[in-house]
Amino acid sequence: MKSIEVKQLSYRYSAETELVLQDVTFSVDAGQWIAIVGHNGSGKSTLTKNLNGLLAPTSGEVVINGTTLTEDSVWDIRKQIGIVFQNPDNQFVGATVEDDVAFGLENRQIPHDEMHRRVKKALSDVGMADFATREPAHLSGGQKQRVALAGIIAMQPAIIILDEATSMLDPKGRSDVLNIVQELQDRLHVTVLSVTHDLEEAALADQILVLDGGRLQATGTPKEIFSQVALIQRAGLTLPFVPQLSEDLKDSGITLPETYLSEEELISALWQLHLKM
Amino acid sequence: MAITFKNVDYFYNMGTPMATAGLKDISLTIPDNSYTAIIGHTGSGKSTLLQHLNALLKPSSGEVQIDSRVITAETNNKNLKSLRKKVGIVFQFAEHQLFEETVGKDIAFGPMNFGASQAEALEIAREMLTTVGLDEKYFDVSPFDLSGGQMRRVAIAGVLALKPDILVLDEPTAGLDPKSRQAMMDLFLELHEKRGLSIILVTHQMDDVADFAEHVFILEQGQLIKSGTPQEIFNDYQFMLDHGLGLPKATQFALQMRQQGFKVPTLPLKESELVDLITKQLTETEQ
Repeated sequence: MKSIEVKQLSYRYSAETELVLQDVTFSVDAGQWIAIVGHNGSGKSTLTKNLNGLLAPTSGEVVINGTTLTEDSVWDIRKQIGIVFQNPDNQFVGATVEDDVAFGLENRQIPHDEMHRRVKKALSDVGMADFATREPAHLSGGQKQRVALAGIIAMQPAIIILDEATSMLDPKGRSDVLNIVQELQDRLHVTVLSVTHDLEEAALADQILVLDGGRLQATGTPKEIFSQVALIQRAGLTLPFVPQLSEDLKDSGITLPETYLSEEELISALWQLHLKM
Repeated sequence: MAITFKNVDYFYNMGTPMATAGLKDISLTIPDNSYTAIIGHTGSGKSTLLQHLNALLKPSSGEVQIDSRVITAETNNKNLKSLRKKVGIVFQFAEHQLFEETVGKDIAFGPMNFGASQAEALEIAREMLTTVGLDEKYFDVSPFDLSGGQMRRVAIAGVLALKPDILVLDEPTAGLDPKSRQAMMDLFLELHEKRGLSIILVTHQMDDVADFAEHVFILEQGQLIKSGTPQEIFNDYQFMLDHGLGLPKATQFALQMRQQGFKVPTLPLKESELVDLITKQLTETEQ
């Protein structure tokens, strides 16, 4: 089943301005992880806002789990989508961690016992159970994003959107958050859409969409995308470390059979070459 | 202009039961015209140390010598202004501090505060705008119409407008896209190499430490736990891993190669060094 379908979507902020999104078409299968990459100003955030109805398409349509996004369906559709935003400090409402996670559930009038159960489960899913009664302000950036994520898990959405959710975190915080999302995707089969300019993060996705100047420039698996160096550069992005290293090795005369994503793959390919010497 | 810390302690909430140590017995020297990295986890004391660099905080005991000025717990808060002109601090997410109607006025705010006439200040502002790599057309634009990366450049231009000798940068590239990140790191290197500014960089990015720093200080729980050149500190990779600080990507890759059975005589820090190492291994015949 298709979780997200975007059909010929165009968007402009006002009649006098240029199109920020032009004729964008793609679809995501349920349970997939998709990364939308592009530099600042490429149209990524505008696209995200069109997906949950914060903005309405100028033309084209958005279909979420089979339902077309309209003024009437927007409230039901928002229940299916959870978004973790960029700045960990801008998304807290509760006085304690557990209050914060419960906020969305209270809004939806989830019965008290059920709410308790879900909050507890969500906090343990993100490894923050010990922090339930702490004040959010005293947590590190990575911990805050994990709590934000718990707030979303508790709502049991079908789709999780990470909107530059790791760009303000230190390397440890970043990998903690991404590991948790990966595990959720595996275990609960949620669809993950990560909007990012970090291609190391995009490398975790099943599919990557490259956005530049409001247009979709390419779609493919990380391997397919990372083997197109010129495309990445045109889009104002930089290759992740391992594909970049492979490129530079090629330039200095070492022929590698394919594009590698992980250190292990590249090292074992190099070892093979070494043994053949 | 050098900065020296001698046995600096700093306590938050001094004289109350809530007193907690922010810095413990820090002694270090940041030489003139140097590029220094300060690393450590959130809460390790980096920001506290940073605020001692231009006497925003004064040591609870010990002393900080900035150029010829000695700052101790007893130092009067008056007459610190000249010091703050010499040491410019760009705080994290500096773009949040923009407030003026136009980019030009925002950059000119500092110089005017330090006594420049409006005409002089705007002249300096124009120069700084180009220094940070922004087109002159932005001069009369509202800073709030710019992208995040551009806004941060304006904030940095505002600090540079005071013509500091030392530029302190607290995670200056956090949240920027790769192109803006690269451009900004290049800008700092140019300011260091061509204009002789000392750069003090607080960062979590070990690749930036490897690529740019001449000297590194590592803080943990308010204490200086290690210092040295990037080569020295990353050679002690076990220490870096034990303290959860990570390694440059090239170094980490080389360590894995070593485990696989490759010969890695010296650990590379930069990607170019790693490329050389691999090329040598795969092209030179074994003796």
